[in-house]
Amino acid sequence: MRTTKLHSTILIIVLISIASMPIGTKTGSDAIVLQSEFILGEQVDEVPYVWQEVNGFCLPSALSMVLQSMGRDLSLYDILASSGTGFSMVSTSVDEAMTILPGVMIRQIPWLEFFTEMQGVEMEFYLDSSTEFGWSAKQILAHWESNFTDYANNAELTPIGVLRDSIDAGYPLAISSDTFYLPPVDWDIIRNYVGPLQPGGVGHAIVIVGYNDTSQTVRVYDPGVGLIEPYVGFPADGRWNYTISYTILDDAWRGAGYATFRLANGTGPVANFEERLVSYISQRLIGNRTSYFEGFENYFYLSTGADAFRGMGLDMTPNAIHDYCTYYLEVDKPTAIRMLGHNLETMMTMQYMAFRGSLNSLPGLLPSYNLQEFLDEASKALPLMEILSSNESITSGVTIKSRDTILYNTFFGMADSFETSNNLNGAISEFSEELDEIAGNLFAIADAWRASGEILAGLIPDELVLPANSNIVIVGGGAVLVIGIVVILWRRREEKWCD
Amino acid sequence: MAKIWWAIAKAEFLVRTVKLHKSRKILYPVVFGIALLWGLMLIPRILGFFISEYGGAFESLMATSFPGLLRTIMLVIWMFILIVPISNSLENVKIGQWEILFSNNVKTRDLLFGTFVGRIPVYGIFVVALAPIVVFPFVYAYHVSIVGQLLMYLVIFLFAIVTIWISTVFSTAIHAKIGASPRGDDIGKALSWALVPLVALPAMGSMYWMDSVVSLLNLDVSMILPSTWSANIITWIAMHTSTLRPSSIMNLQLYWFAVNPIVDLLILCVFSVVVLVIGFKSADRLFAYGASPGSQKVARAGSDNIFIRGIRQLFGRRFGVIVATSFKDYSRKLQNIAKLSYGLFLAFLVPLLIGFGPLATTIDDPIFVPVMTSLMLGMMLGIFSGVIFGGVGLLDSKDQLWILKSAPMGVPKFVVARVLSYMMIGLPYALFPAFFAGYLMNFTIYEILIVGMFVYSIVLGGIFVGVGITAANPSYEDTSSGAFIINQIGTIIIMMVCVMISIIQGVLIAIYQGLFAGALIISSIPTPIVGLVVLIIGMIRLNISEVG
Repeated sequence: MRTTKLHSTILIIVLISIASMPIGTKTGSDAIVLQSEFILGEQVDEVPYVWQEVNGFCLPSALSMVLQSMGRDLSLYDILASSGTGFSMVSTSVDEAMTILPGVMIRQIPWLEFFTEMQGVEMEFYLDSSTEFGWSAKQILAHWESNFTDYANNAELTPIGVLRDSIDAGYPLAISSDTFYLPPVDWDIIRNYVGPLQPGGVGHAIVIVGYNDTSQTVRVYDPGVGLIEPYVGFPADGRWNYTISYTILDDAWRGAGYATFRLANGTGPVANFEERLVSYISQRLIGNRTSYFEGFENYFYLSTGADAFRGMGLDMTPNAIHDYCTYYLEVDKPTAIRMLGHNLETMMTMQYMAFRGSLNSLPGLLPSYNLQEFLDEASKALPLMEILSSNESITSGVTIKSRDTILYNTFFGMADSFETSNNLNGAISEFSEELDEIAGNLFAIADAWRASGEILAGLIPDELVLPANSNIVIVGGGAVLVIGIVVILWRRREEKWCD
Repeated sequence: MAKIWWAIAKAEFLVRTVKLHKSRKILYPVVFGIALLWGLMLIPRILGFFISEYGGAFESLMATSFPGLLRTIMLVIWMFILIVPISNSLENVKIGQWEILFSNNVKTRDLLFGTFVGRIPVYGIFVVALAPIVVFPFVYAYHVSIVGQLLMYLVIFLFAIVTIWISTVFSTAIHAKIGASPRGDDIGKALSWALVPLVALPAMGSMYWMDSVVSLLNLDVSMILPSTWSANIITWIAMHTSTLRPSSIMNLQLYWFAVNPIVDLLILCVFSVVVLVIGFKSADRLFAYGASPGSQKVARAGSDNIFIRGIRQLFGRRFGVIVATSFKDYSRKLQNIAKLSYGLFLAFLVPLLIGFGPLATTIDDPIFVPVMTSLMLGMMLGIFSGVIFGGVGLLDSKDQLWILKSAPMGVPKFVVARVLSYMMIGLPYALFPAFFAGYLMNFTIYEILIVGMFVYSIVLGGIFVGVGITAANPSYEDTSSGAFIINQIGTIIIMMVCVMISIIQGVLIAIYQGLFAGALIISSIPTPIVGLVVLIIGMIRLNISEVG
């Protein structure tokens, strides 16, 4: 148990982001544009609604709403593709932590910065470190050296002030919130079974499209309704569009550390947009550790890109599963085993959706490139990822739904066997064939990701990239050479003189 | 055959453990036992305490960074085992005893092997004491098995043995080469000073610019170092005998090993065998490097260069000769040049470390960083100059003092000439590092001049104090005399007090007034004044002293 405290923080370190509760399914992006009847102090008109469809995609959906209102035609999957998150994956396996993480859940601020820079959109991220949640998030952001503006450091800067400024300037505002306080019936499950958001947890992104100082209310577009049982499905009844008081907004916003993603029109996409995106996506697929964790590449318990699948595949062994179990109390082991299988399937489902949608979007984002070979290779991963996915894994409410999938059957079967026999080694070994099959699928996905990444990398010309301080090396090396030659000549001259 | 190398090994061991005197048989096992106790009991407890004290974050940091840190640790250990014996042995180059041995049908390879075997128990103590520092963190973080730990110790042991062998071959070869020279002792002393920066500079450079070199060559530059091979093998053993999961092993391998660790193992084995074979093969040729016994090279003096002639002109015919002679006397001794080079080496490191090291990002103040760099530079060069220009350089012997005292105003003239020549030598010694620091820190010309002036003033203070103390208590050429040691300690203490007082003033001005030039000008005043007082006192004492 010695390292339990440490490694329970590892997931939190990786999960800087996002997401709502486990939920969501259905594919395809839906956008509805409302003409507002809501008379407010200020409101941004014609903000299209983008449903997030899948658990964890709330921020890209919120961004899509804001960007589309700015005239940028970027769907949810366009954002997943052009931010690289649809082509990113991380796995972590150390002590009691053992899971895979989809792209949207990995270091949110860096991919957001990359995306906004590429799109030429101005983005500023705010946080209030004087709140419990904000303080916790600040520690994580500081660890990864991510930049943000701290409300706590500027008395004149307030969340509501930023909200007013953004909407007055014509831009809806994406914020992170605690769903415990949000009124839609979908969030009753949080109110009834989960409770308020805890520091280190993940907030839910919503979009504020207008405010009214007279009635002290704001209008919210919530991309995350319609994801939890029994309310699964597109919220055609319009419950995604609601009004809340400043007080409720403050509760929900403060609960998520007043995290604010303020966007504004900038200079437009960068000149070499396509080339840079191709390069970036190829590195994400291959698993370039610098691309994922610059400065932290030596964190060996994190595997990236294709290696995330390969790493998890390597850990699908009785020894590794047994080692994972040893970090739990005897009584908790069955739950730990079940959660391992369930989480792997949930995360895989999220990435499967993101990957599939991003592959569809990519040709539209890279019209100058012939992507056929890449798409053919990358598509080989889709059926394999589907085998390890299940919509039911992400729509479960309070109880985990039973389903007939290899991950569910293996790990739930393993837990059942252990509960019956009380023999951990025996219970795990009983499912060694299934573990091999899961590992085989993961290895095959890894191969497809790597191969497709390499194809993509081959589409851009090789560049001779000299490091910034290579001059020092070149000049230093040259100086050493010259000194060496001078010394030799001087020595020879001296010897000649002596003779 | 066996008896000869064994006798040499015993002699080497006895020489190395001379400080234990006749109690070797008891004290050596005691020292070895203490080293074992330290390594196997205390190190794990101390490190374990710190690791548990600083918690999971520290453990995580250690686990993720240790393979890289290990390369640095192994490099340090490697350099230590390689350089220290060579440097120590060069302090006293005497091949006369070798010639006696060789005239009695002792082969060079016996000498070489005997010296090597004799050194193993001595330097082995360091290995025993240091190896657990390498092994324990892995054991703690990766839960390495007992077999793994034993294998790790075995690699370190073999690596140390090979390094001691290389060190023995090198020092024997260098002795053979320079021993025949009439200036062999001087060259040996110079080399012993110069060796550390000569080896440390490229090593540190390779570490400092590692990223650039790696990016440039797409190959880990440290891979050329045997210490890296052994570090990689140790990491590899630790990984595969630990409880790490397969994914962690995969990532460790992907990140840390540019080539397969098996290649490291092969390279290290080949390297060890080649080194052993070459060492033995070259043993009988070592003396061919130098002149054969009995022959001597005679150094011939050339005509004075423009600079020396300029000095003569500048200081007049009579006094100019003394200054020029003093200048030549100091500068022709290689050990003085080596000491100057060593001081310069450290001085060049100061701005690099403060301006570009870890401190640069911690303290990012536009006034504080340049002021601190300049003050540290002054402190370093000042204290060092006291040691370099004082000590053995002033008077060669009592005879010389007797001659000086017999001449009218002989002593004052001689000391002043010495000081003047040192002041000339001190000029580039102070200005080059100052200009380098100014260039690195993007100072203006005016600021560079201020830094140069400040550093030179502190160096002058060092020269005055060093010469003054030596004049007050001459140690002549004997570096092992009590007078020499007292002089060195006295010089360092006086310089440290002076420089600290200067620095406190400078730092206060930098903090409260934010004045860069003001801080340096105020800081440059006390040291030369104190130095001048010490110099005058020393000169008076030398002048009135009786020559026994």
